[in-house]
Formats: sequence, structure tokens, C-alpha cells
Amino acid sequence: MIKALIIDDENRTRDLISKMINSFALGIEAIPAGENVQSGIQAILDYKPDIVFLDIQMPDGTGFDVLKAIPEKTFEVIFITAHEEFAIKAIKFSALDYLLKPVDPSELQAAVEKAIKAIHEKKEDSQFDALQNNIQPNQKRRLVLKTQESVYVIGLDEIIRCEADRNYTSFFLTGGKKILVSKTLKEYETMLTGHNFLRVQQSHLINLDYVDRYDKGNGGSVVMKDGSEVPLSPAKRDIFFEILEKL
Amino acid sequence: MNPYFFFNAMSVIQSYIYENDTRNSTKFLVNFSRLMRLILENSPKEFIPIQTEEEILQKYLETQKLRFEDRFEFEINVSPEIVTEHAMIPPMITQPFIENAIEHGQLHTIEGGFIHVTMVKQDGMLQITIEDNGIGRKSSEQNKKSSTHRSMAMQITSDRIDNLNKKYKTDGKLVVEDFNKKLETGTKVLISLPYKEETPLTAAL
Repeated sequence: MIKALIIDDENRTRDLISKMINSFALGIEAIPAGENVQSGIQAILDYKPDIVFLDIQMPDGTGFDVLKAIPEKTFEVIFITAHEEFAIKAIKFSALDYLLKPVDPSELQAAVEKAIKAIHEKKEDSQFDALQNNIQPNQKRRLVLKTQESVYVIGLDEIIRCEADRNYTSFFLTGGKKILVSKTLKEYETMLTGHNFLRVQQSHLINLDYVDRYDKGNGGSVVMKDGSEVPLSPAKRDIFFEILEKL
Repeated sequence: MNPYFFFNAMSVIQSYIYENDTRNSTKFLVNFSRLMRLILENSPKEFIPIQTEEEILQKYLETQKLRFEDRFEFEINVSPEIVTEHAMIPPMITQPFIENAIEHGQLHTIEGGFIHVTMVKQDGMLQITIEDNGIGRKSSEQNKKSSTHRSMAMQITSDRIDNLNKKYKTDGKLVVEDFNKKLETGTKVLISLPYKEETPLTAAL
């Protein structure tokens, strides 16, 4: 479900906008939380919304301050304010829309629909990118893994799979070798995406060249060429099979 | 008066409508309309009866209170002799400071936030005091927009007082200080103006 967060210093406005959004029945969860810059930032981190409705003038700063404090904007921004003079600045912050108070419900609905469309397009884009990167011809690349005792230089074609263990990552290599490195799986996922690797589940990143088979039992798992078994998260099913088709 | 006050007020009415709150939306509309009528009628005049000014402030503050869901209190005290003597006042002379207290003093964020307006006759002058326990000038200066807005209110009001001083050869003043001098919070505005009276008879002429 798409989550929409409403940040405004007036209680009344937060409730009004949520009521309006609910009345559109677009299957969006409206969350009226965040009454200033501080609590707004916190609410974004807590709720991880897809859309943020943002007031501009707030007691301890502006809506722009909220955006500046969020390093990675994974949501669409729609400003709602009585002030028309910040529209240009809002565009510079890549706002999807800019609504003036009092809010016209049909304008609000159009903005919400625009946001839903943008969210879906973004999702498709990122899946397509992953797909594109994964079917590119494999370049001969090496990876340096540092442990306390040694520095390993390994070819990507030696890596069968990687497994997360909190802030550590275990590399399972051809020939039964295993290397434990104190970096998160997320970091390696970033490095290895585009080289025929896929994060098939929260804790597992696999080299698609070493996939032996897919077993349907146990909710579905991937068996690697070295015999190890890795769960496949339902969210990754589609992309996994799509890539296999292209191999 | 800040034009955004109107848009925010309209937004309040809209929220009552969405709550199906007929009673409050009507109450708010009536109050707001009366305020608009008073402002339109009186703002072009040089002086208006203090009673009228009191009503404007009353309606203005009530509107703002509804917007912020009663999260602050206000009190307007006009000494009785002023009313019976038909004292006059330049329209909306205190309004910019009351607006500052609410918008920039962030009264709605303060526990037990208040605004007190007092008008007395002293040494042949009309003495007005506007006090609030908001975040104060020092804190609100960190917000650039707030501080330019605050200084604009100061400029406009001291120009108005200067003009009155020239015309009536008086020594009116505008003084702004912290309400709580130790903590540097809240604001206390002192305005002194020439004391003017108009009997109902001269007003009618």
C-alpha cells in the first residue's frame, strides 16, 4: 500500500488533508504526523513514506529544511502552503506539485494520482535497470576483500554467493573457500549489481552463473552449483525468472 | 495584515466542512465576515473609537485561536475611563505586533501561551502594552523571514507614531523589549500615542 505522510504545523490541516486523501479511495494510507521540521524528519525516517505532503513555513524552520536533512529521497514531494512565493524554490527541490491553501480537492486528487504514477514508473525503471545491467556481457573483473589477516584478490567468476551476517559478509567461493569480511551485504550488492549478481533475499546475494536449479519446495529456493541452498524472497521471484530467461 | 491570514482562515473553514461541523463552520464564517467588515470600514480612517479597535482585535484573535485549536489564550483590557471618554486610536496599530506574537512567537507551541493587550490613559497619553510569552525575538531571529517580518512591523508602526507626533506635537514612542528579560523569551511592546477623544456629537458632525 502506498503511504502518504502529511507534515504541517497545524493539526487541522494534517487531519483535513488525510480526510481528503481517504475520500478519494485510491488505496493510499494517509499518515498525519510531523508538526515541525524536527518531528517531520523523524516521521519520514519512521514511516518511510512514498509520498510526503509538506508545509513550508513551520515553527522551527521550513519544509525545505526537512528535505535537506533527508540524504536519500525515496519519495515524491507535494508542497501544501498558503504562500505562493516559494513555488520556484519548490521546483528546484524536485517537488511533484505545489498546492495552495485552501486546497482544492480535485487538485489534490490530481496530485495524488500523479504521484502514484511516478512511483510505479520509478519501480519499473529500477527493475528494468537491474535487468539491463544483469544481461550485459560479463567483463573480467576482480574484487579485493580485506580481512584482518589478509588481502584477497578474487575474480568475480570465483564468487558463488555472498551471505549477510549482520555487519559482516561471508563470501563462498569456488573450491569450497570461504572469506568473512567486515562490510555489509548492501555495499557488495551495490558493487556487484550489473555483474550478473542478484540479491535474491535479504541476506543473500548470488552469482547467477552458478545457479544449478530452482526448487519449488519450502516456499522456493535456489540451489547453487556447490550444493548450497538459498531462499528466494517472493518479492524477487519475478525479476529472478526474468533474468534466467535472458541467460 | 499578512495576506496569508485570509488563506489560512479559509482553510480552517474548509476543515470544519470536512468534519461536517455546521455549528463551528457557521460560527467561524460569521466571526470572519464581521472582522472583514470592520477592517474594510475602519482601516482607511485616521482614528477610530477604541471600542471598535477592541472588537477588531477580539475577532482577529478569536479567528487565530480557532486556527490553532485554542492552543493559546488572550486578554484585552481597556481601562474603563477610556471607553466612557470616547477615546480614539489609529486603526490596527497593535495588530502587527499581535500577529508577530502568533506567527513568529509560535504561541501555539508553548505551554500556556498567552497574549495580553492593555490600554490605559497616563500623563495625557494613550499607553498600550502588548505582551506575549512566545519564543521571543532572539529565537525567532534565527528564522530570516521572521526577523524581516518583525522589523517591518516595527518600521510601519514607528512611521505612524512619528507622523502623529508631528501633527499633534506629542512625544509618542514605540519600545520593544523581551517579556522575560532573564530568559530572553516573549515580547513586550509599549506604544504611547497622543490621547484623542471624540464625543458622539462631534463624531456625528
